[in-house]
Amino acid sequence: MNKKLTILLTMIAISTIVFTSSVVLAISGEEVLDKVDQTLDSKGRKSEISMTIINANDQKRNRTIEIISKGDNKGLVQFLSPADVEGTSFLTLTEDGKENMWLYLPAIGKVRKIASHMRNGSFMGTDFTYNDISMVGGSDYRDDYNSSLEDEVKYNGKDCYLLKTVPTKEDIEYAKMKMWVNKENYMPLKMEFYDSDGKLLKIMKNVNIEKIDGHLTPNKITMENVQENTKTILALNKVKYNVEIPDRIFTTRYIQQQ
Amino acid sequence: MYQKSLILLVIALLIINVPVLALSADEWNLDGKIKEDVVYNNSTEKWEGYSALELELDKSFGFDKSIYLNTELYTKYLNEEFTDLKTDLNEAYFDLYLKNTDLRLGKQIINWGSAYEINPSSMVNPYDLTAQNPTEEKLGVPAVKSKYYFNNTTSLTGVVITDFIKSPVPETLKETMITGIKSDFTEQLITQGFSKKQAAGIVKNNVNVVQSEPEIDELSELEYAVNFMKRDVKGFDLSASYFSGYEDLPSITSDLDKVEKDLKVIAQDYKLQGFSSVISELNVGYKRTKGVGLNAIGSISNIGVWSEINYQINEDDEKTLDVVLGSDYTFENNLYTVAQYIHRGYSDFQIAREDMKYLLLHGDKPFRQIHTIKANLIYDLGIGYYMFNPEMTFSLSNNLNLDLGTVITGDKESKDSYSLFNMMSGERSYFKLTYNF
Repeated sequence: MNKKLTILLTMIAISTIVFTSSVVLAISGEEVLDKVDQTLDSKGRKSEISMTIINANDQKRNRTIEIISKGDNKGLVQFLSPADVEGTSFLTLTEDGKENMWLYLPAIGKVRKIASHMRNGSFMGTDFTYNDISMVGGSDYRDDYNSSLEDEVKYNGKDCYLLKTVPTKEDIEYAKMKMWVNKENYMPLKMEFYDSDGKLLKIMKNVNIEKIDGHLTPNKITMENVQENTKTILALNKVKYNVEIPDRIFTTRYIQQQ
Repeated sequence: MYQKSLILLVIALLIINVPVLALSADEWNLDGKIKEDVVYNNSTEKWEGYSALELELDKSFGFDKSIYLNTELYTKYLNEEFTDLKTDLNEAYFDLYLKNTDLRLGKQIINWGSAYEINPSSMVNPYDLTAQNPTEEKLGVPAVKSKYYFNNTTSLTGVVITDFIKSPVPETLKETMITGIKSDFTEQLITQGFSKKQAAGIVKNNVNVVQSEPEIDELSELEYAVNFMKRDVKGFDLSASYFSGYEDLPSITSDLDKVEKDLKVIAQDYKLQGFSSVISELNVGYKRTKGVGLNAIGSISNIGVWSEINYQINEDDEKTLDVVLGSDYTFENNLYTVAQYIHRGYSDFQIAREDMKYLLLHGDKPFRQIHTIKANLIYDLGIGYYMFNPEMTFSLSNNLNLDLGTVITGDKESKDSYSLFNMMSGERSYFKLTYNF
């Protein structure tokens, strides 16, 4: 009797521990996305990136850009080459949850405010939209998407959370986005973007991830438009984290001076 | 005079800064492009061409100083022969960035206004009306520009233009204006009993056309402009500007009542003695003008919207009001569209002009990822005239682009020499090859 009771108590204890543990380990999609943003956040980051645009005929065009970001609310993308786009700058500032974007085109010598509809347009002929590139530049996913945990899966041999996210802002035209997040370090490895008809539109992948200055960094980001059969590759040339970047960099004044 | 002073000032600043510049100089940056434009003009049935080498040279000296030069070496193929090689210095300026102020000294282009391509409140630089697309070609002016930033969103800009630069006007446009006024005089003489041939002869012999340009020798004759800008006001960028200077286009500066009185005396002389020794002068020049502009750009419910208003009054109290209202939208398939309404109203002009109303529609879309197709339509809502300009841009390599396009126009010709259409070249087909380096 005592033996049976002991076994029963032991089983109850084990089940309690297992149940409690599973409650403690359960994590919501919102929490995962918060951790993704924390992983991608940096106080100050300056990177130079080679951009390759590949069309359906496999023709390639190359650009070089510099991305400077500070926290999750200030971002600046500047084109360094080729000559016909050199000096073109794209500034993103987020204040009280409201995102403002300005574009400076040297050819017209004028800073032009970007209306919200343009945020879904192609960023300088690439497969990235202005919104996508501002995410690469350091903006938070949590500001633009609601997230739910759909599954726990393996991707490229890594245990991942599979998130289903839905945009919270009207000016994002993706119907939804799926994100594969590495459980180990909360680095997003793959994202699928779906169009307003619910069809798969684009796939973004973070590849060759390594720790630089204590920050997880993809050495390559690919964005593939599966409907148009086009692709844009961002290859990291150099990056510096924890850089002291003065606020004056993130002004319309500065982008006109460059 | 003031242009020379400005050049001397720029040179003096460079000399003073030489030791500092030498120590902090980054690399010289040389960019440029080789352009080959070939145009077939449908009305003249002739080929025209433009070959150019454009060079851009810039250099930064630390964070607070830089210089920039843009020069062009070109030849044109006109009337079946090439013109001599010419050089234009498009821009050449020195930048100095102080704590809250940006200074720019030298020949420069200043673009204000929020509208698409047509910016009536941007009055500092003249348009090159001899270019195939004048709305895209502005000429640099020698000027001192100072921009003071109150904070990151608010700025006040002051510009002093030290020398008058006129819009290069196609000879046909000048002829249209002068022929128009002369034919009015001829008509007056015909009503007084002269034959058409006699009237034309009298006007030819007794009305001299005198053309002049402003010479700036006094401070009070300088052109200047001010712009106040406030960004992000409830999602809109707002600005107000003021300009005092000269009109870019020539017009009749004579008092026409006096010319008509002279004509009466001349006509009387002809009736009495068969000739007249009275010579009336018809002056063609550039009137002093003032303009106030207001601009707003932002978005309403996901659609980009803007407005640009400019009110001008010249030395003869002739008034021009420009109103431009526009919107743009990008569709999910990356089709970018613009719709813009342009209204120009005239009042109190010596020679009556009719208001002009235009609709401008634009669309562009990338195809095969790296090429672009675009089209512009300008439609005159008053006379029904239109200009349609489809164009394709092919990216042949990283640095080489080919533009292929054609301009198709409606049948009606505007009689007004100041019509937007008369300032543009007529029906044509073209290709442009541009190599950037």
